[in-house]
Amino acid sequence: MRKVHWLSFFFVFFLLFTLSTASSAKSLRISLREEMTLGHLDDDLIYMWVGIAVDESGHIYLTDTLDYSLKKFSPAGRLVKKAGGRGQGPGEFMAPREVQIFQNYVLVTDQNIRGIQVFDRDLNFIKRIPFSHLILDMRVCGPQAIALIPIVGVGAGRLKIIDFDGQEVTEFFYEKTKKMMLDFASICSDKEGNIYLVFTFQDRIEKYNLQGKKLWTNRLLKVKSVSKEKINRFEVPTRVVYKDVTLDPVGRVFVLGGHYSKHQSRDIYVLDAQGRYLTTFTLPEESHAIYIDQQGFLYSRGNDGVSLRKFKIIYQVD
Amino acid sequence: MVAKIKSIKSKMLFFLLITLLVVRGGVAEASAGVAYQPRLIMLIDLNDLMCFNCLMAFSRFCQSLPPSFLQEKTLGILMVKEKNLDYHRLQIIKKKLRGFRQSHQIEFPIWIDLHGLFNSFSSRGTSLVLMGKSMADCRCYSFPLLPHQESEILEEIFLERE
Repeated sequence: MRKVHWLSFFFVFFLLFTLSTASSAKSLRISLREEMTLGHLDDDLIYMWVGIAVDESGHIYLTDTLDYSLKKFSPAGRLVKKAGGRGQGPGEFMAPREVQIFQNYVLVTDQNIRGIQVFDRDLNFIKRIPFSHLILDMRVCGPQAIALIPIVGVGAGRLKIIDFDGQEVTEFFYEKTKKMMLDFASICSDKEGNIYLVFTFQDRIEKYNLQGKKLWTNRLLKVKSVSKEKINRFEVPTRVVYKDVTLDPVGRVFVLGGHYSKHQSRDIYVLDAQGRYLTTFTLPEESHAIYIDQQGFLYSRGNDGVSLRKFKIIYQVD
Repeated sequence: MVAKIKSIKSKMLFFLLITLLVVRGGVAEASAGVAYQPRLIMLIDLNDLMCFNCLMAFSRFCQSLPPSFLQEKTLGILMVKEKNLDYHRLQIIKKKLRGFRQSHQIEFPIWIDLHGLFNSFSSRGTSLVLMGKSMADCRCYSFPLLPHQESEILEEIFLERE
């Protein structure tokens, strides 16, 4: 009798355990439905877009490096205005890169010009925010804060937070390597101002608070070290681990993989805000960047940069 | 054998290009008693021009040439490294080339080297071939040009114009 009693106890325990694990092991699946393609092969809307930002009304702001411009498109994809041109004067570009919406302004970095150019939402040039170095990546991370990764050189790996006047608010080191370019990273920020950082040439995805405290690290691809090539006197890494990072409206972290992914420059790894891996899905075409707007639409590159593709993200929990 | 054929093909195409250049501007010159004048073939690697220094050097050099020289005596060849280029990929390249030409106000014609006939030049990256005053004078320079190379080329072009 006692034996039966114990057996039934174990059976109930086993049942409860199985049910609880099954409910917590719900897996997330993501698929994409294409909403719009901007820039086709026979038009002259986009030649090679690099940076993207979308405002709250759905207007799309793109930097186009082949014609040195900043372009604004309506939510339906009509070109509203084009600004810029080649040069180093006010509102001109040599190699426009990142674009961000900050208050009522549009901020643009240039790979070859120091500082940040500020435009209004109609793309009229307003001013240049001074900054001492060229900028690798830029994200707005609060109502008064702009996070930057400056290109400093060996021993860098420094993230700087500045205000709208270019005054430094704070800075912290996320990498202290002396090896060239190993500090290269892409960043994004959540609503609380935390910074997510993915390394270009290292297998590291990290989250920091604004004080520079590391909250977690994740290494998804088990890449120990990337292949390098000697260019002139310098040995530089040539294969990219992670290309870009962005967040969806509920704070999931989307990381675009590079050369070490199963589908190069197409696989997107999704993590939760605590750094736990959730799922992977694949873009239809290779991209250099990904962006998710406030409505949750995902944007990526099409036709090698001459098109921008907009997708609705479809989440499925099994 | 294939390499040999390719090399012959390459030489033939090069010869044809030179002939074309001579024909384009040569009739009036011949009647004026000038048999040969400097001409340029720009061999362009679009990926190379993503490098800021190369792009600036190329652009600055083009701007330093007289517009009439660019229009009449310059030819561009876009080197394509990809093999088996399909129609779709070709359209992408054409669009990028269109953007490149527009933003740099390039007015000389540019051909796309679909069959890799100029592949032997691709290791040099974006470069230019200067055909000098005499038939035996044919030089190749890579971008970014060194200052003395740039002045050497310009001197040749401007001297001839004078």
